[in-house]
Amino acid sequence: MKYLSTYLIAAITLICLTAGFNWWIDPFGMYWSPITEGINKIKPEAGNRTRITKAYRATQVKPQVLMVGNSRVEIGLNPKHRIFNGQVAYNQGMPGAGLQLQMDYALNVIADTPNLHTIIIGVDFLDFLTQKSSVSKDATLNQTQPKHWARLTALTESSWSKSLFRLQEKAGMLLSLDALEASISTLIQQSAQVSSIDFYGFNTASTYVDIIHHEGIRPLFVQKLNELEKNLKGKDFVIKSDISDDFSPHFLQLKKLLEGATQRNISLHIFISPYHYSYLNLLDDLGYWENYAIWKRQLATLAAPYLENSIHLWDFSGFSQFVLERVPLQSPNEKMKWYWEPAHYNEELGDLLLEAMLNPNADNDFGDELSPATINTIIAQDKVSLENSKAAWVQLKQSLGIDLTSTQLASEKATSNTSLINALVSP
Amino acid sequence: MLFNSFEFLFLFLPITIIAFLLTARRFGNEAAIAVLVVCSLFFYSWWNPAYLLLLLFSMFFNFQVGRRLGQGNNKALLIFGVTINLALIAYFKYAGFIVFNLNATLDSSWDLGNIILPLAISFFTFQQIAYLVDSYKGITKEYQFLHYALFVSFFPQLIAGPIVHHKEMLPQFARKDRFTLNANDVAIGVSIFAIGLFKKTVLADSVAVYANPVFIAADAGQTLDFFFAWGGALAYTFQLYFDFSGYSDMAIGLARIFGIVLPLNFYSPYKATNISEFWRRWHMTLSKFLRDYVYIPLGGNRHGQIRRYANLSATMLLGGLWHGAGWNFVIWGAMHGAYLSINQGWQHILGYTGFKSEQSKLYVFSAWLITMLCVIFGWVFFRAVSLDGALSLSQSMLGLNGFALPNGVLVRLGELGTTLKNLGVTPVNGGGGVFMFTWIWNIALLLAVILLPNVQDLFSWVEGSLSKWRYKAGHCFWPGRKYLTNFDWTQSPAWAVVTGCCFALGALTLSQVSEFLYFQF
Repeated sequence: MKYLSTYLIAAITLICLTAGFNWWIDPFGMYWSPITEGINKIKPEAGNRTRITKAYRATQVKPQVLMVGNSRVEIGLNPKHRIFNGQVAYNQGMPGAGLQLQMDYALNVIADTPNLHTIIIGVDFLDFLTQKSSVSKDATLNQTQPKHWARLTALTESSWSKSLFRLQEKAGMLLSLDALEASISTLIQQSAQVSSIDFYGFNTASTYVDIIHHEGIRPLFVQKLNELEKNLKGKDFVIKSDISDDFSPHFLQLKKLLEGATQRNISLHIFISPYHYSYLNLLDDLGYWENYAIWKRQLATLAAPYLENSIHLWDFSGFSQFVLERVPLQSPNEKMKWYWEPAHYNEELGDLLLEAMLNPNADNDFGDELSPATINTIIAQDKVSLENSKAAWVQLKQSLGIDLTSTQLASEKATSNTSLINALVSP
Repeated sequence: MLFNSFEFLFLFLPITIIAFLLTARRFGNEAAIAVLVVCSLFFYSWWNPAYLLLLLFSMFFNFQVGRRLGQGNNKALLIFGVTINLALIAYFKYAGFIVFNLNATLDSSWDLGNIILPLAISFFTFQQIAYLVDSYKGITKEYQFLHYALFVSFFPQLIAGPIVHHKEMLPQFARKDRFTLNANDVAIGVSIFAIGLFKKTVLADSVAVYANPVFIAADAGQTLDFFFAWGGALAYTFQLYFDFSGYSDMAIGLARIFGIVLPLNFYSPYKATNISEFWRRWHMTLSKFLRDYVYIPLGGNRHGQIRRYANLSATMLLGGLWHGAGWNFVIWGAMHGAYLSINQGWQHILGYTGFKSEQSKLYVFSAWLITMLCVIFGWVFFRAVSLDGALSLSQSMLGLNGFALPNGVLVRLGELGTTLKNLGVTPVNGGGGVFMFTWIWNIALLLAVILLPNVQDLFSWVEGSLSKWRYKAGHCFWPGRKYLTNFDWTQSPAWAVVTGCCFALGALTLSQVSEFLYFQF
């Protein structure tokens, strides 16, 4: 039996060592063991698990300011911006997260954190699109409990199975082989240009720097525009029914947050992201411009009754100097000043957004407040500016060498391959 | 219940072992076998209790028919028995497929509803047909029902083989000395189990990540290029081998803990240098069954070359269909039937020339390469869900759909990248990391399957399985074989640590986060 005891001791030792090593490296940014430069500071694997970690981390951090949204928020808004002036801000942006996930997670933080006084949420046109057939008068929120509810302790009733689920999920970040692989990958990528999630949930988006350095900006633009086309072309998506006055049920999700914030007297800033002009022009090419205008109008209508209660609705998508930034294809390894690619602005532009929203004395004239009073002017302005940018758009398409009317795109070949770049640029 | 699950490893298995040992010590072997039968039936019913009735019926029915067949030369009874078995499997496994094809041909719309395939029906049906045939031939002895029940239901081999033969198993159950916890058997058992667990959970499951998206894309009608297609096809080739052979190793190891030795099911099939040899090494217990109960009764090679080829093809078609009800399995079976016939013809011609093929290194390597290519193209049809998907993927693998590399890889190749672009390799955006890992895994596993000894080689001297093979030479491509032939498992601390670590790594996969995130958008 000596063999068997050696066998068991070896197995148990390896399992314990793995758990200890994974805790120390903390590749997913769950436990935040002490940070050592060159060992565990950069967390390139953390971006793959944010839906798990950010559910728990947001309440552990006990933020006073919470940022909500998808990847645009995650890589654009820095919680350590000087405007927060020592207050704890947490970025709960999660790549590809739909509205329900964003809202449920945010409502959980509201319920759990009494000190929370401000929420900033970036809303996304694509998140509100819905199949034509699903727009109806009787549209209600899905009442079935999604799996992620088990993570939201302040929002749902506690139960034995939910506790077990959370225990498994957290233990899986220590006691699992893929966590070990992630730890090793973390260790060897400490000096690489890779995206990392920090203590406050911000994504450094450094992978973009690496791609621009090695491959240039062109592939980023080509891939994002192709992806947007693939997601929307020939689809039956709408914001509003064309036969009745019913809107996409996704607005009901946003309404939950409006009500939750109002009840707790939380200052809520809802903003429309500054999409690059190429993104907006492609929406137009694909026939979505009218839906885009309807979306803005409905946001203004939805928010109107709440605007007195420290709720703000901002629009940064107008054709400002930032949105119209030229793509430096002549010097392709040059980083853009405000954008990573058409769908994602960078931290510098994010800084300006935060200032515009939170500092009443900001000297930039970036962004407009959306309300029933301003909406008509803004939509009309958008249309004129869109037409004015058409020539630049046509030229950009030519320079990128993309034909967005063909059905078989080179990038489609790679759609089955998931990668960091795909993860970063998904909506 | 899967072997690689918490409930199996940390509840079912320990409880079964303790119950088995205590019963054997206190009440003797028969009671211990009864405990194993009960535990095995519980193991089966964990999946779907309703189908336990099917298994029980099958066991009782076949035991009774077998006993009567043993008493007299009753061909009608044999036909009746085999027909009932085939009818059951036809209903549960093939009815949907048959009706689907009838509907397509006759433009009708019959609907049988959703028939759930009972777990392991293919395995226990074949084992019992063999039993009936042998009873008719008078080869079987008078067995006790309890022993027979364990032969059919013994949990290590019940759901995924090896397909066991009554002649090999029942004598082991009827042993005279008392079942006990033999330190030697336990050491061998847990070691083989750990290696199998590692192969299945660490190797097969890891490489599966690179196979699945490629086949899903091909089935969805996407055209893939040469490198992505090969990356996926190879990844599946290794996934299937490590998955299935790992599972067989786990079965062999588990049975050994109870002192039962199972037949060998895999013996480094990807080292084979011809397709016949491949089938002597791949899913060996199925090959043996098909040979003894289909190919030879059909006439085997006793009626000339042409009949031999026809028999081979028919056998392989049936073998293909055994794997599942679908045209892809039929095509896969037909491909292997053709491969085997061509190989027979080639060996026939070689025989005339007197060429000593085994002495030419170039011949051995080429023969291995051709065999591997044939097998891999076969797997494409085996895995793909649609015929269009399989054909499109095969075309891509032949280079008919162009060549492409991730842009990130091309730019890092520098000059070579530029040359490749000039040669017509197109850059695609994204997928660089996945591409690299696909090929790192594929190359590492390819080296592993052709260079390393297998579990049977390591454990042969302690009767790891019922096979006597050990570092088998001949009809195989095995560079460096002579440097490894004395590499044996022993009860040394080093082996205890190595296999203990294999177990730990396998166990660490049980708690993996299975949530893959936002790639479905």
